[in-house]
Amino acid sequence: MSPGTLKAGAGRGHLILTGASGYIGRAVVEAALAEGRRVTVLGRRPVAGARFVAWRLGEGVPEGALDPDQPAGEQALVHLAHDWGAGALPSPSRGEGLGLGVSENDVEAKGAGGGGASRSLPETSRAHPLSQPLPPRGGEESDPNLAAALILRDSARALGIGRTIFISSLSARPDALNRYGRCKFAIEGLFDRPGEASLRVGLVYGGPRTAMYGLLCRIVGLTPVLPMIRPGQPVQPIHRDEVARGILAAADRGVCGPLGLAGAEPMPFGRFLRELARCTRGRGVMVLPLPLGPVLLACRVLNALPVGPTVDPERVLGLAGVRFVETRADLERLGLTAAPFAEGMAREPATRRLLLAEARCVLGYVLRGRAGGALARRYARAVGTGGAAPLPPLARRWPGLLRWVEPLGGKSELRRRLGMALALAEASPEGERTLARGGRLGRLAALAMDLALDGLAMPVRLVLGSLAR
Amino acid sequence: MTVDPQVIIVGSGPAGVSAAWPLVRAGVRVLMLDAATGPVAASPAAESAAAFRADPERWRYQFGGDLAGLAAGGDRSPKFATPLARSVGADYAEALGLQTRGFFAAGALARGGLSTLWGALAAEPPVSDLAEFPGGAAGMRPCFDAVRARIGVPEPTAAAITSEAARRVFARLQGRIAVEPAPNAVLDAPRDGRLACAHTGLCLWGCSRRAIYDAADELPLLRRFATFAYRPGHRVTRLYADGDRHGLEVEAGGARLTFRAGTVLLAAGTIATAALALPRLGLAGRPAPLLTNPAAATAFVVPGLIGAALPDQSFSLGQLFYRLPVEESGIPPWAAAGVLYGGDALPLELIASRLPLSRPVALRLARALAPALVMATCYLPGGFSRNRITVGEGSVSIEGETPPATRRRLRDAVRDLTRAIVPAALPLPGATSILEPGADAHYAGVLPMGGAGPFSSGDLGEIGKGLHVVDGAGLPSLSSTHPTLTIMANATRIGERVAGRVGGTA
Ligand SMILES: Cc1cc2nc3c(=O)[nH]c(=O)nc-3n(C[C@H](O)[C@H](O)[C@H](O)COP(=O)(O)OP(=O)(O)OC[C@H]3O[C@@H](n4cnc5c(N)ncnc54)[C@H](O)[C@@H]3O)c2cc1C
Repeated sequence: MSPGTLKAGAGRGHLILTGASGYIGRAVVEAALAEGRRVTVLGRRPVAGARFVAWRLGEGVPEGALDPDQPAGEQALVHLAHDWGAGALPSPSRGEGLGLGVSENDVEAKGAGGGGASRSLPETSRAHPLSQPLPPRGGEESDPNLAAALILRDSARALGIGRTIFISSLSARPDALNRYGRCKFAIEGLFDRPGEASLRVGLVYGGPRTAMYGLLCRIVGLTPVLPMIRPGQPVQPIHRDEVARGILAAADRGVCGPLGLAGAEPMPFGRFLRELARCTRGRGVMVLPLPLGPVLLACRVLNALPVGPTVDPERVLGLAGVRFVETRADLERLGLTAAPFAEGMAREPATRRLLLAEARCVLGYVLRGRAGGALARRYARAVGTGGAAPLPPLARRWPGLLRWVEPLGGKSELRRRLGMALALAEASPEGERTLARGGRLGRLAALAMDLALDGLAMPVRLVLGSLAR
Repeated sequence: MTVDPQVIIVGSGPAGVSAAWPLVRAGVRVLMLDAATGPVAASPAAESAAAFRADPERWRYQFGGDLAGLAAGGDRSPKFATPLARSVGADYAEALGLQTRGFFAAGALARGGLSTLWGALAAEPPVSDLAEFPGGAAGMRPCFDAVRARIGVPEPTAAAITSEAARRVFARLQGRIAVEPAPNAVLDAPRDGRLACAHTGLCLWGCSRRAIYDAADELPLLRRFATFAYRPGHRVTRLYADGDRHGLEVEAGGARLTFRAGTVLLAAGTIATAALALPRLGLAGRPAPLLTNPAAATAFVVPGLIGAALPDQSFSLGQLFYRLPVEESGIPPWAAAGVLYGGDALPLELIASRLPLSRPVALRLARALAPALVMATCYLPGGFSRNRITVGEGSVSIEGETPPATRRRLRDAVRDLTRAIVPAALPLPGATSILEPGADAHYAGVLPMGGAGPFSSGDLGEIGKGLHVVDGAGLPSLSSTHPTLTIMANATRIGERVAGRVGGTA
């Protein structure tokens, strides 16, 4: 059972997965199948492309889950499933309107680590919601997830499964503010033999907008001003595909003990949200810092009311308790590099769509005509990471309006992008057609008109420019 | 070459190949070591300027396949932003451990060195500027002729002026200041596998016809000689004494090699040559002078040409070469000189980025201005520069400064040029800038021939028996006239004399 007994290249080990239908689980299944592995999912629902064995949290690994053609010692179990249900606050979907609800995926699989839970674990004492500044600690010993993990682990050991990977969270700590983190920590302790490891996953982003990622995408879309607690808290984003690769690497490499699977470079949560807004909405958000105490109090007041949204203090505390965790060495052990957030987001199809829309707007403005697909794609590629620039909404419809808001000088991002648009437009066939059009007199007359209009726009640009500063 | 080389030349730029010719012709066994790595970016192959403008692939040549050229900018030759420049200059700073303050250091570890992107202006300096050269102007004259004949510098004629704006300015300037159609090392007839200039205007991106002289094109010609061997990918990292010979430590593809020869000619380009020579002389850590041409750039418009259609044919290297009247009061007397360029083949972005207008209007105004533009560079002699180069352990640091008096002289020179040009063309407001020291890429004079003190070399650039500096580092002075033809003539001169000493075997 010693690590490294799997022959490199010779059909990587069979993978058994719990929580396969969740946000991360699906990514792991896809990545494993793409590598040509055999995958068996344990759960209530089958997942396309994988073998299915019915199973519930609290049960051991069914013997039929093993691949009979492979020694058990070369097979791996990945435990992703997490039961959020037990003792959760009532009707979480009521929070949906505020973007605080959870996606259906979370019921079976953990959504994202780092920032903490998506839906709460049971509160042991919610009798006096207004009287407690902080929820009580403890309770994780009685958490059903802990008992379930123990059963799963023992059955895996009994079957001789070579590798067991428990998917934990970066917030796993004995003294975590929220119960989720404490519970994850307690479970990690169970996986303490060679061939057993826990992966502490950071704030996962990318892919389908579900789970914590979906929630955050929705939140940044809600309002241009986002009040939040401790926007300076460090988060360590990691792309969903990288998480999947990391999990597979852990299954192959026979690592043991807890390992961080999160971006090595921390970024303030506030900046994360601002960049997320840029990439997913094409606009900025202003992050307004809120003090923790009053917010918790407000949560409790809200939750005590019979109507209105429920806000789970677990979530608030999950975030407030985040600490930076060094992950570089762990990523190295997994043979993984986590791309910076902006780079990872740039690869997201939604970011690309937004960028292409921006490209058509900005290039259309410079060209005063339609930019071809190749030109727009070139612009999007040139912008690289960083998502779409904040453009005035009306300008998307009427690019010509940019003339009135175009920054006059300085180093603003919009100015930089307009400069790139100009250079690319000039060096394109459509640019050449536009610029060569007409006779000399016509061009000069149009230019005179343009210069006059620019003169008119100047005061507006000046005022807007100084406002922006 | 199986036998030991008699002479090792370091570098394949204009200086290296110029020194190689007389040696190889005399039958001397020559080994040329060159740090050149990697391929050079491809040049566009359009038939005309108009075809290039409409070419869907134009962006690739302009910004590079990775679009990295979009980020470039600054007050330097637009050439430095091209994929070509980025490909030849890629590893230079890193290989040298180069650090600069207030200085722009161009360099190329490439076949042909910086001549892969040079402006090809190949004028001979006035006699007075050669006074300090060993043997004076008279000694240099035959070498200038030999170089011109070898590389092809056609007799400049007015017919070579492709820009209408430059033509009008030429008409105005004649009789006012010394001005001539630019003597460029650009072929007007095919030779040695290179084609004549077809005025495609693509000069900035590299000439696919090879009409513009590039020392790299001489390498195949040299290699026809059995006594010549060329080793690219061989970077000399250190020189040392090895009995009565010279040892060279070389880095080649990760391996460390050593070479030996009785005679070594350093032609790695002024800065890289200094990096090798100064430690060999025990002058590491001591700041040495480094001459450059203090430079200004400005632009004019010919009002009658604003809005004209861009021409089908154009040429983006120098159109006119001028020299301002000599300042007799200077000691020695000196004159500013420079080049006038047409604007019709320039990326409009470079013009538009300076116009304080909304981008669509800036682009259209730039397009209207382009055919009417005449851009000028203005250089002062190297004596007005104030730069220091210090070579340390695996590092080179250069500090540059443009003293106030030099700035004043540059501004005066631009003013004099403007006075001579107006009213044929009008100065473009805000277009005058004083370039960062080194942006001219004319580097010279670290170990001047015939100089005194530790920072000097002998009449043949020798800094030790059989060890010669044959590139710009050995120039005793830097004329305001572009230096490369002079560097090549001097390298030819040294090559001839060294050939006489070493003696051929063939
Ligand atoms: C944009 C631009 C425009 C220019 N325009 C003009 C112009 O119009 N007129 C003009 O006269 N001059 C011009 N110049 C300057 C001209 O290019 C240089 O003066 C000329 O190239 C110098 O020649 P060189 O042989 O001394 O050195 P380089 O051309 O720098 O060649 C150096 C050679 O040495 C090699 N080398 C370097 N270090 C090592 C090492 N350690 N070991 C082995 N090999 C090494 C390099 O690979 C290269 O082959 C221009 C320069 C630039 C950049």
